[in-house]
Order: sequence, then C-alpha cells, then structure tokens
Amino acid sequence: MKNDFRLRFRKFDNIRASNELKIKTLSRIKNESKGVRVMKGKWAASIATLIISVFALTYVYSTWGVNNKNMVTNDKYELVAVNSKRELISMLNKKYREQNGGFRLFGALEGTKKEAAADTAQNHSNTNVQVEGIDESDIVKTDGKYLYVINRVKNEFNILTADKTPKNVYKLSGKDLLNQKDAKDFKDYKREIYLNEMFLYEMGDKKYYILLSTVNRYKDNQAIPEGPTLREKISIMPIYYGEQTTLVSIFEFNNEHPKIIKQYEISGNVLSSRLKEGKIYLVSTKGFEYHILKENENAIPYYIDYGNDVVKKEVDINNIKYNKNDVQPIYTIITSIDIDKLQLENQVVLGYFENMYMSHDSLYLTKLKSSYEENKKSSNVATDVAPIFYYDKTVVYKFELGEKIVYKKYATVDGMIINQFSMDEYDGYFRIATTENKYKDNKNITSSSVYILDKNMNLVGNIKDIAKDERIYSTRFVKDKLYMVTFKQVDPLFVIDLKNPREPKILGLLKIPGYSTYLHPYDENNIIGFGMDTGEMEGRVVNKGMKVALFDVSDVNKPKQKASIEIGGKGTFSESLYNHKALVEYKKYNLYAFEINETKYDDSYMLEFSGLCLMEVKDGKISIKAKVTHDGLSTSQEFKYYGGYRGLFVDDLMFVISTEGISVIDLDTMKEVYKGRI
Amino acid sequence: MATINKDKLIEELIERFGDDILRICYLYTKDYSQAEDLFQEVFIKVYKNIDSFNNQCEVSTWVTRIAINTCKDYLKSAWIKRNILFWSVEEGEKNTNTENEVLNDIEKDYILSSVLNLPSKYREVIYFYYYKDLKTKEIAAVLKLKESVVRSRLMRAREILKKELKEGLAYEE
Repeated sequence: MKNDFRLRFRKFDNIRASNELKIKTLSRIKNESKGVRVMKGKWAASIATLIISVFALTYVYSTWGVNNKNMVTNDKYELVAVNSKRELISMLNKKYREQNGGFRLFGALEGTKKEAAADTAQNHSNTNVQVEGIDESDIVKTDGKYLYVINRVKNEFNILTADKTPKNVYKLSGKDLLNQKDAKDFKDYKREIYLNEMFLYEMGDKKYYILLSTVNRYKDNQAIPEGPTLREKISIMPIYYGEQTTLVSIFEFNNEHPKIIKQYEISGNVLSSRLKEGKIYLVSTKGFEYHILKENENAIPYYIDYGNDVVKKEVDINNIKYNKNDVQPIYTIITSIDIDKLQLENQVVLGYFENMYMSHDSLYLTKLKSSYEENKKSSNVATDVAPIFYYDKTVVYKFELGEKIVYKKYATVDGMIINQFSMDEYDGYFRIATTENKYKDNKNITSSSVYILDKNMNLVGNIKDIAKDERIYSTRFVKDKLYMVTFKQVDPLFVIDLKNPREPKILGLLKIPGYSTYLHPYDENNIIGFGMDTGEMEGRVVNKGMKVALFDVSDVNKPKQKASIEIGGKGTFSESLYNHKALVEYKKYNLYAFEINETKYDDSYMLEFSGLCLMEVKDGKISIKAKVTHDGLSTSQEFKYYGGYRGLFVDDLMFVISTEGISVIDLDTMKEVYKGRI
Repeated sequence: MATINKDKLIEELIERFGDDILRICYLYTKDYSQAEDLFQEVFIKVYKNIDSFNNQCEVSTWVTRIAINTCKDYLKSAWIKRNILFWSVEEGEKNTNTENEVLNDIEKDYILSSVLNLPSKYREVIYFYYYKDLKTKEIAAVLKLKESVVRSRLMRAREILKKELKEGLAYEE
C-alpha cells in the first residue's frame, strides 16, 4: 500500500507554482510591506478610477446629521495608562497563558518616511515627502553641496562632493557607529549594527546629519547550532532571541569634519520617522519574546543615552498606554528627540500599528481590526455553516505634538486603508479614505469611502459607496481636494470635493485602463499617476508594463488624461510604485527620476534594463530623457548586485547612485560626464 | 536586514520552495485558486519574518511550518465559512488549461481523491509520510504532535482508506 500511495502521490509533482503566481506574490509582498492589502478572491480587474473630492470650510451646522453609526461611541478601543510595571507584566503573562504560546507572527515592517518638499527656488532636489515642511528619512540626501549616501548592501555611509567628479570626503562603516561603547546590561551580548536611513538638518550655520540604524544584540551561546539534521530541527519554530533597537546618531558636519554630538538607542524597529522643526519623531515597534515574563527582563521598552556614561533607562511606566480589550505582546514607541536641546520624550502604546501619518500638529497611528458577526436568521443555505458578516474597521489614534506627545483621542471608521497617503489633516480636519469589503446576501461587496473628522475625532462628514466593486489603489489629498484611484476593469480617476467638511462630494471621474499606485501633484492643474498598465489574458486581468500618466484636473468635473507612457513589458517593476521616496522630483527642470527594472515587451519576463529612468513632464507631455545603468561597472569576476538606484539633483547635474556606483549626468546635454565605483 | 537583501532572499525562497508550498496549500484546501491565495499569504508572512529567522531550523522547515499554520488558520477562520457559501453561488476562478489537466488527473485518481477527502488531520500525515517521505518522528516534529499520535493517525487514516477503497474499487493491498 505504501508504494502505491507513493506512486500516486507523484502526481502532486505536477502542481507547480506558475511564474505568474510567483510574480503576483512578489508584488504583493512589496505592497504588503507598505501596508497594502490586496483583495482576496477575484483578482483585480483592469480599469482604475481617479476620483477627486473636495472639503470646504464653510460650516453647515444643519448637516450635522451624518451617519454616526460609523463611529463607535463607547470606549471599546480607548487607551488608558498603565499603573505599574507589575500590572503590565501580569497582564501580558495572562495573555500569554490564554493563548498558550501558540504560533504568533509579529514582525516589524520596513520604515516609511519623508522629508521637506521640493521648492522651485532651490538648486537641489529633496526627498519626496507627503507633507510639506516635514522631512522623511531616506537612504540618499543632498544639501546642494554634498551627497549623503547610505549603502545598505555594504552597510556604509558616504559623503561625496556634489560636483562633476564626486570626491569621497567621508566614509563610515555601520559597524563602527558605536565603537566599543555599550550599556552594562548588554555586556555579554554580541552586537551588529546596520545603517538604515538618515535625515539632514540645518540650524543657523550648523549642519547636522542624523543616521538611523538597526542594532541587533544576541548572546553568543544562542548562535546557530550546527550538526543536527534538518529533520531533527524541524519542530523548532524560530524564536527570536536577539534584542533589536534603533540607534539614532546625531553628527555635526562642518568643513568636511563630522563630529558626533549624541547617540540614543530606542527599543524596537522603526515603523516610520519624521523630522519637523529640529525634532525627530520616530515610531518603533518592539515585539518581545513571547513567554512568561519576569520583572527583571527587558519587558519594558527602554532607551540608551550615550553621554559620558552609557545609561540605559526604562520608559516611565506612566507613559505606557494600552487598550483593555486588546492586549498585544508588542509595543509601539513614539519617541521625539530635540536636536538642539538633546532632549528625548517617549510615549508607548501596547499593540501593533500598521500605518503612521504625521501633520504639523498631530501624529496618527492606525490599526486594522477585522471582525465578523454570525447571522443565524438566514442560515437556510447550508445546515452547518452560518452566514457571516465580515467587516474591517480602521482604528485611528491621534496624538498631539507639543513639548510632549500626548494621546488625544481615537476614532473608528469602516474599511481598511492602504498607506500613509490614505490620511491627511487640513485646517484642523482629519480626512481618511478607506476601502470596505462587506458581505451581504451571499455577495461580497467592495466599495470605498472618505471620512472627515474634526479635531476631537468626531465624524462630521463622509461619502460612502464610491466605486462599487473596486478598491482604492492610491489617494492624494491636496488641500480641499482628494484625488483617488480605484481599480477593477478600468482605472477611474475621481475628483472629490472636500471643501465643506460636512458635505464632501464627488466632482468628477475619469476612466482609463491601468491603475496608479502613487499620485504626485505636479501643479495646481495637473497630477501625475505612477502605476501599472493592464491588459487581459485568458479572461483575467494581468499587469503589463509600468505606466505613468498625466491627469489634467483643471476642470474638476471632467478630469482628463493628457499624456501617458508605458515602460517595459510584463514583470516590469519600479520601487517608486510602492515607495514614494524612490521617486525624486527636480522642479527646476521638471524632471523625475526613479529606478526601473524593465522587461521585454514580449511577455517573456526577461529583464532588459535595470537602472535609473529620467523622465521629463513638461508642456503636457511625458518623455524619457535618459536611462542610466551601472551594470558592468565592476570588471572583476565576482558577482555584484546592482540595484537600489536613486537620483539626486544639484544645479544642472543629476547624480545616479546605486549599490555599486555613482554616475553624473549633465542635464543640459543629457550626457554622462562621470561614472565610478562608490 | 536591508530591504534589498530581503527582496532578493524572498525571490529565492519563492523559487526554491514555491512548488512545495503550493502543494501543501492545495492539500489542505483542495481548492486550487484558494491554494494560490494562501501561497501568497505564506510568502508574505515569510517576508515579514525573515528578520526573525535565526537558523535554529532549516529554512525549508521554517517555511513549511508557516505554510501549515497559514492553511490551518484559514481552515479555522470564519472567512472560509463565508466563502464556502459564496463560492457555492458563484464559481471560483477558472484555472488555466495546464492546471486543469493536473487537477483533473489528481481528482480522477480514486486513491488520491480519497486521500483528499480525508479529514485534514489524516490528510496531512498521509502527505508527509507517503509524499514527503518523512519518518513518523519527523512528522511529529513538523506537525508539533506526539509521535504516538502521528502513528495512530496514520493507522486510522489507512483503515479509513482501506475501507473506502474496498467499497469503491475493490482495492487490494
């Protein structure tokens, strides 16, 4: 019998993951790491909608009768302060026992950050950020004089001169960031430091750069046991023994001589960070070893202050807040560091948050809550299966930014959000765009909504049921308007009027093939959409190459697609599609630079070009000005990974930086004037 | 770990273990398009947790365990209840021709389809024992069960199959 089974089971060999599935999975992973959730079930179809909507600020008190059912009025999700360490630990331990140590997954997401917006007057490019005046950290930056570059593959930080032949003036390896210093508690630990992202900051004539790195500490005896065969090891799920922190290193940089001013280490991995008016805001997440905790362990989030002494301090227990109905073994730590005063403040919340949005006054954290209700009444379809109403809610927690970070209030809205661009604050109103999946009458209904909340997080206006059967692919709030792309078969661009927060309305929509995953305001009348072109294959919709489209929204009632280009064939991919910082804008020349991995047009998925694409958007036209690659830069036989292309602009030059090299393009001639290793 | 490394790594993992993971997902769900969805879930989880993988076990084992857990969560979840109904009304996605052939071949196979019709606790032991060729001790480790439980499930599964197959096809041992 055994042999027969074996033989029959060989048929399982024929089940193979298709290339399409693999690529789909990869692109989902790339989206997921930014908090995007792809709809289950039907694979999305092929046209997206751009919606533009507006809020006005004329208060119409008579329209107060908005559907308050969308708001949870009880304190189901309210945060309260922890009273004592003992209370906190016993609460977590109780949770652990309840769950019996089951298989749990919680991991830190990749950080998402942004920096000050570009200004036409400036002679250099800046990191592409969501909110003007609030910087987001990135791997490359320039101040117009120097290029600051983090190379994550080599774990190196370099400063180069921003001229035709860039000269390396400073080099630092991530592992040397802390020298020999460490906290007493970590005496027996080994340590690894990985450079992550950075900020630049200028104050008067002082110039600073701030490096954010991940520190991983582990005990030597927990190193990988060699020897036993894989099958003997099969039962062991990896439990993470290491201790991860975020190292913030503040350097002063004058006359090409960097001087370290201060270093802090904060529990957890960065979810997102910002720099606003000399203050760094950092949201980090720290899961802890899921076991019965004792009081002397690293159970409470801490920070390490590197001064004359190295001091490790636990966060003040009164600064930890939690939701009684949702105790999760993970901390989210909001830290602010004042660069001038070198002061640090913490606020900790128990639980994991997927997305962070920060305005000039507030910081918002969001969490997705999925729940379901059984409906016993209509269970006539199948005897043992009760129909279920399944719904997603997004809980938004608002923190006010002042001297201290203070928890203000929370609100819940129906549906899920895709990323930080789903949220915005304007004139004291918080706006959020969500996609809802409802299950009703044996049908899955998908639609999108926009909610407007006042500064106390009370709902004042909303639009529901936008674009049935489609989900949001991108949103961009521009003052009192919202541009939204939803997608199923066609790509409709909606213009929604949010001028009156109590009466938002849809102004116009445009349907075109393909969809945008990122919307970039070009000027008052134009929006650029970065996304994918789509086509049909055997009845399903598949992605084709990358698509960049220019939308004319001067007539909000009739948005138009003015121009568009497609780049590459199936499988073409650009980091800018899910990471807005991978797109660099240089307004002075109307240029846009982004990495592109371009495949052949013949559906072969064969990579044809990998490098940086330089695109011009001017006079209603989109054209590709140059494509720069560093392939073959190294003559050695050794395998090199070329990737991570980013552009930086200074004066009339573009610097193309990759993991292996740097090249310089003269923007007037579009010729490469320098190319070298980095 | 740098994102770049993670991205490269996940591609490799999908390449190396993709087929096996899809098979496991199919084994648990018996629905090809659902298996494809779960396949994606599995690798998303793998990606999110690459940083915490510490080489305490083989990567293959780690990925397999994530797949098993994902499938079991799926089977337990309310979601499936909802969708069983849903799909009964609206047919699931159409598979491509090659997939159809493969699936037809499997479904037509009387023995294999009997295996697939076993309760999942029996299905999984049969799969690892006969297809993946693991020893009972190893299966116990993968499934986090006592070895004795695995043995008794295997026996029970064989009894059920024997009975069913005899009734159906006059199957001889």
